[in-house]
Formats: sequence, C-alpha cells, structure tokens
Amino acid sequence: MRQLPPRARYFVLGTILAGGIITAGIPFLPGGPPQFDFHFLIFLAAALLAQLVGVRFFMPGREGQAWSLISAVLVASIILFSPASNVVLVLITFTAYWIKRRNIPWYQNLWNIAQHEVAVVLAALAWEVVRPIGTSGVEAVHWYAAAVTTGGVFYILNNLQTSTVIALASGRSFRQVGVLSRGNFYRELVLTWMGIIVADMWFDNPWRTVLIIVPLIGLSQMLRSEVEDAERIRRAQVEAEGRAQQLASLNELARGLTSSLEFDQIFDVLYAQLEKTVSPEVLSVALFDGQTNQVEFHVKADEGMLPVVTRPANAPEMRGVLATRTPLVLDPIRNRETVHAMSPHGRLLGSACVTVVPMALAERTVGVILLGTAAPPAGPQLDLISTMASQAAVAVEKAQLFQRERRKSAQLSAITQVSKKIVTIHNVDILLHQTARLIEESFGFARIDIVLHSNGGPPPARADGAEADIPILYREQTIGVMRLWLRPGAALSADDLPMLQTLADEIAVAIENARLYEHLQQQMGMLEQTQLQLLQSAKLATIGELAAFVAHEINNPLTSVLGYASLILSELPPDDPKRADIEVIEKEALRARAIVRDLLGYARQTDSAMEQMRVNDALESVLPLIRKRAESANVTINAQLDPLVPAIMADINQLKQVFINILNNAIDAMPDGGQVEVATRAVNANGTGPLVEISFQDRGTGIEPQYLEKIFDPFFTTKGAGRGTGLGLPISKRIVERHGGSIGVSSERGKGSCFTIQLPVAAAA
Amino acid sequence: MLVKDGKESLVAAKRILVVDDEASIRDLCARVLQRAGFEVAVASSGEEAMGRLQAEAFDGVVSDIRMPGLSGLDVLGTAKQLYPGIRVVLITGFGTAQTLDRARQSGADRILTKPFNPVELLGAVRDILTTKQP
Repeated sequence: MRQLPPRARYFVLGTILAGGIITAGIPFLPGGPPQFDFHFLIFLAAALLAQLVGVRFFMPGREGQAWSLISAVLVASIILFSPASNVVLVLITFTAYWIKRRNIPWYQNLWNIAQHEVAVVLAALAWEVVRPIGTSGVEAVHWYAAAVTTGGVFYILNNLQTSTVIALASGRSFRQVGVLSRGNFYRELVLTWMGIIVADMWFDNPWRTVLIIVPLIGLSQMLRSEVEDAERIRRAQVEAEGRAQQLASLNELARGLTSSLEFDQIFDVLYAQLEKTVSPEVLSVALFDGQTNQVEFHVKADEGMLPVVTRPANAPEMRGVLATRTPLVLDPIRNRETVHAMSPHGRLLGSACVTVVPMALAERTVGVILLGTAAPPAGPQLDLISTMASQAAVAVEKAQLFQRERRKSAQLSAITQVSKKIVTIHNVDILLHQTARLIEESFGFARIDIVLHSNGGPPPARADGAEADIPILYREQTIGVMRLWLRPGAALSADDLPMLQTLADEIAVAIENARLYEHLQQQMGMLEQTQLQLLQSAKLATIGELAAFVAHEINNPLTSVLGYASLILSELPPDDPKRADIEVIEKEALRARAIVRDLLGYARQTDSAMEQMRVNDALESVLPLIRKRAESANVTINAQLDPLVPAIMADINQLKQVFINILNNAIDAMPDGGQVEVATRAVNANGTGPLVEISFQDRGTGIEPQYLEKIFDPFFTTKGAGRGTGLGLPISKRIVERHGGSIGVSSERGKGSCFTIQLPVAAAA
Repeated sequence: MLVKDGKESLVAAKRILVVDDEASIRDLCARVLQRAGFEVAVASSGEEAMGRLQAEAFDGVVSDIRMPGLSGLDVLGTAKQLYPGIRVVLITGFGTAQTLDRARQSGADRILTKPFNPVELLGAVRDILTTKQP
C-alpha cells in the first residue's frame, strides 16, 4: 500500500470503504435480502466455474479472458436477480479469486472485490429504475434497450475504476492505460449482449440457456482473440513508431557526430539527443585519457556547460565505473562514494538515480556518460542510450585522433619553422628566444626556457615546477637543456618527447651554426683588415713605382748638385765663410740621395731574378762595400761565415740590399764606434725544413722596447729628421718574406741589437 | 785628399775619355779627374766617343749608359775591341738588376750609380787604373 502514490492510495482506500459499506448494507438494498434459491445457486456455480475452471478448460493460460466471461455472467445476474443477490455473488466469486491469487497484495484483492461490488450495485439500481414490466411483443425491444443500458453502466463503471487506479498508480494518462480502448469496448459490448441473451432465455427455459452458453463461449473467445490480435497489431505499430523515433534520434546523432571533429560539437549533439530520450536533470560525459591516466569531466547542468574538470583516473571509486562494459544504475545514497567521485561539481548527488553508460569501443572504453534522473530509465531507453554512447565513443576517438594529428602537424610545422629560423637567424640570443616562443605556441606549453651551459660548467639544476628538461646535445655533448612548464591540468603526451628531442637537436645545430657564424664574422673582420693592409701595401707599391720614376729623373740633377758642392768644398780653404753653406748643400744632397735610393730599392722589389746561390757569396760581396763606411765610423765588421751552409734560391741583388740596410743600421746604432758580428749557419727548425740563418749582432744603443714591434713599419724611423727614411727595414722584411723566409730582431737597451734572417734551403736539384 | 791625389797624378798622367750627354755631369767628371791629374777628353754622345776612341788612344773611359743614339754599352764594346787593356767605368742613373748584369757581362770594370760623390768617381777610376786586369 505504501508503494502507491498518495492519490492512488486514497482512491483504493475510498473504493474499499465503499465496498465495505455496500457489504454491510446487503439486507437493506432494494429488492430485499438475497434469496439463495436454486436459480441463484446455478448462477453462482456458473460464475465460479467461469472464474476458476471454465476459462482454463477452453483456453488454458489465458487468465485475462476469465474477466470477460465473468462480466457476461455478472450482467445476466444483474438482470435476473436482486441487487443484494448480486453483491453476494460478487463477494463469493472474487473472494475465491483472492484465494486463487494469494500472491497479489491484499489491498489489490480487496479493492477488486470492492470495485466490482460498487459497479454491480450501481448497475443493479439502474436496472431497477429502467426495467420494463413485460417482454412479449414489441416490449422486447424496450426490455433489450434497458438491459443493454444496464450492461453499459456496469462496463463503464468497472473500467473507469480500473483505469483510474492504474493511471493514479503509474502517473500515466487514461489513454495510455489502454483499458478504455475501442477494441475493449466492442468486446465488452458483445459479452454484455451475451449476458442479456442468457438472461432472456432464462425466463423461457433455464435449461436452454445452458445449451446455448457453450457456443456462446466459443463465439466470445473467437471475438476476443480477434480483438486481441487487433490490439497486438496496434501495440506493434506503437512500438514500431517508438523504434522509428529512436532510429531517427540515433540517425540524427550519427549525422551530428559524423560531422564533428571538435569535442564541444560532439557534446552538443550528444546532449541534445540524450535530452530528447531521457530528459535528465544532470548530464555529463567523463572522458578517459589512457596516456595521461586522467579523466576529463564535461558536465551540463540546467544553466549550461560547467567548466571542464580533470581528475586522476586511479581513484579506487572511479575504477569500477570506468571499467564497466555494461550500463550501471546507481543509487546516489547507496553508492555515495562512487557518485561523489564521478561528480566533481556535486550535481549528480541531487538526483534520485545515476545511470552510467560506457562509451565503449571494441577493445577499450573512451569514457562514460553519466545521467542523473528522477527515476531509473526503462530497458529500451537504456538500450538506446547505450547505442548512442557507442556512436559517441567512435566520434570521441575520431576527434582525439584528429586533435593528436592536428597537434602533431602543428609540431611538425614548428620544427620546420625552427629549421627556417636556424638558416636566417645567426644571433644565438634572438634565435633561442624566438624558438622558445614558437614551441610554447605549437605545443601549448605554459613556458619554455632554453638554458645553455656555460663553458665547462655543471649542468643547471632542474627549476621549480618544471615538467621536464630535454637535453640539447651536440656531438654527444650536452650543451644545454630545453626546460618546459606545462599548463595547469595538462600532461605530456607520448608523442611530445620525440618531437621535442628533434627540436632540441635542431636547436643544437642552430646554436653551433650561430657560433660558427660569429666566428666566421670575426675571421671576415680579420680578413678585411688584412685586405686593408694589402691595399696599403699596394698603395705603397704604386708610390714606389712613382718614386722610382721621379727618383730616376732626379738622379741627374742630384749628381750635379752633389758633385759640384763637393768640388767647391774641396777647392775652398778650410776657413772660408761660405764653407758652412756649401756643406749644407752637400748634406742635403746626400740626404736626397738616400731617400731616392731607398725609394728605388722599394720599387725594385717587383722584379727579381731568383737563382740558386750561396748566402756567403752575397755577404762577401757586400762586406767590402760597407766596410769603408764602417771604418769612417770607427766600426769593425767581423764575419764568421760557415762554409758549409747550403745553397738557397734567391735574388742576390735584393739580398744584398737587405744586408746593406741592416749593416747600415748597425753602424748608425754605434755613434761611438764598435763592432758588428756577422754570422751564417745552417739550422734545422721544426716543421719548416732546413734553413740558413744570417745574424747581425751589434754592440750599439739597442732599440727601445716600445719601438721593437714598429721598426718594420714603413716610414717609422728613430734616426731623426734628415737621417733616415723609415723604408729600409720594411723593404728588407718584404724581400725576406718574398724569399719565403723571416726576419726577427732581439734587442737589449744599451747592449745592442741582433737581427736574424732565416731563409729556406734550396730544394736539391 | 784631392790635393794629395793631385801630387800623385804627377807621377802617372793617364788619358781618360768622359762620355755623357748631360753637360753638367760631363763637366763635373772632367773637372774632378783633371784636378786629380788625369788627362781628360770629353764626348757628348756615343757617336762622338766612338770617333775619339778611333782617333786617339785612352787608358780609361767613364761613360753614362743611357744616352740618345749609341749607349754607354756600345761605347764600352768599341773601346774594349779597340784597346783590349782599356778600363771602363759605366755610370747608370737607374740601377736595375738587369742593367747592372748587362753592364758587367759587357766587361765594364766598375759601375757607378747616380747620384755619386766626386770622391766615389775618383776612387773608382783610380782603382781600375792602378790594379791589374783580372
């Protein structure tokens, strides 16, 4: 009784109460108390027979048909006997039914008796009012009309009560209950008519009634089965319509899902169809990501989509639900833990029933649909939702694949772009900055830092909150790390790491490229400087050519100036006042001659005749020339020439010029006289092959340390105005270098200088 | 020194031909050598020098190499041909290696490079006239 909704309960109790009142009022009903005469007992027996045996005898297993026969017996009884007798008949017949069906709840059986009592009494009272006196002649029509009306009252009352109680108990409408259907009405009309015919015949001869009742039962059964067939067809039609609706719904879902590659679209389509099917209070989908072992909750409430929540999938309350392959119906009170775990927003807890439908593919489950409803969904509904879930599973998998591919494609494009940047950007800092931003964008990371190791330093420690450090390797050496931070709730996928490693390799190459480029730029700078020097040299060479030309033209007048000045000086007496002036002329002419000679020497370097020669020969031809000047400066030259020095390839005239230059300098370095030691020897330097070394050691003033590196620069001189041109040593250096040799100097202040020339030995012919 | 040289010149008065197209240098050489006691004749071109050499004998020749017409090298060749014992000093204004080589190969006894000091000229002439030919 408690299971019934309140209104149904009141209705049942009310009917039972009415039945009780009628039973109590049996002696007071119109027509007097029941008379248990022979006729009534036959009827009672017929009613019980119809109720307990008759139907089984003819058509076993179809209990429902007993009701129709009972109706016919009851209509006949109403017409033949008094109301009190009818109530007793009902009381006895349906109590017997109660005994037969003890498994039905007591209140249902009690109500069954009561409602029949009500219907019988009211129909019997109606018959008392409308029954005609006679039945002969045309009065028979009147009699039949009144009897049919009485039967109709009984039928309507009986079915109204039944329909009402079913409608109240199930919450469905009268139409849906299906008791008051057209098929039922015609069937009942025929049975009512049968009851009336039985009653009519009873007046003439009750025995004839018994004879006719058998074919009448057969007829009634035939009618009934036809009616039932029609009813079955109607039901099948309704069912087919429902199926078609489901198919349409599935079709719509399939169409929607096929065109959706985004999760939002999939959920929109799925939720729309689910709402049509079950009208849930809360609708959510939990997607399971096997790679990251996370569950993503997409919840739809009345106010719309709630923010997506991600939870780890290894909670024990979740496991059972996520692993299910068949739909589960949960009671939020009994399965509180599980429902709580599956409802991050707590919405499912408010529903009376939670249904979990797996979104299953052949080999795995991509997630579950969670529905919060007021009542458990019916079997067909659950089937439909399962089918929808399967379709959604395929769509979700497709979308996941698409997202993964899209991500991969973005990542590949990032790699391509990084490659492009490597080619175009040669500054390490800019490159690293831009590359990091590019990776952040295409992988959806919160942050990327590219940390380079300082030379030889220890690798930097992992920073707080960083998800991973990806080593940047170049030639199997770690030159830095790519450090990444994930966005909240995100996880690294299995595809990410190889992609990132590829990028790290690219970055390694880029860094090395950039470094090489910087190195190359430095070298280019140096080359440019060298070229400038070369240009300077070329300029000097051009100047030399010009100078040679001019010098040659000057030589003739200079010869005259110098000659005549000397001549005049030799002719003037020592005390002549003009002497000083002429001496100036001579001195200046000598200076001019020195300049011209140096310039000529510089210009002459372009043409040289290389031949196999001995250094000693060159020196021996130079020494006599220089000795004269040396003697006048009180300088002695000692030569220690090794007779075994090998031959060299050289232009002897140029070498002589070099020796003269150096010896002249040595003499100049010793204003108070001194000694110059010239020596030759064979040396074997590492890597360069045998060399001939010529050294000139003076005991002069030495060279200031700050001048040491400048003395080979053109126009650098320490000899003071008018004494040196600053071209002697640079020319000497150029000559030596053109011979594939080198010239060096060591000097000690106050102790003298030593010039050393090394020249390669001629290849043995 | 020149005075001392002058005294020596009294002992051996040698004949020297000075050839140069430049009058100032020709005169300078002539004066220096005359003052040193040499007997000096001058010629202003190679052709003139050839004539003088064929006309009279000389102990030595001092000649510029580059001159219009016949060069100093031609003069050298003729002189050595006419007087095998004659000593020749060539003067060059532009002492390239090639010129010097050619001069030496032609049999010049000394080569002077302009601009030269009168002392150098005198020294050179004196050297070649007092030493025996190789």
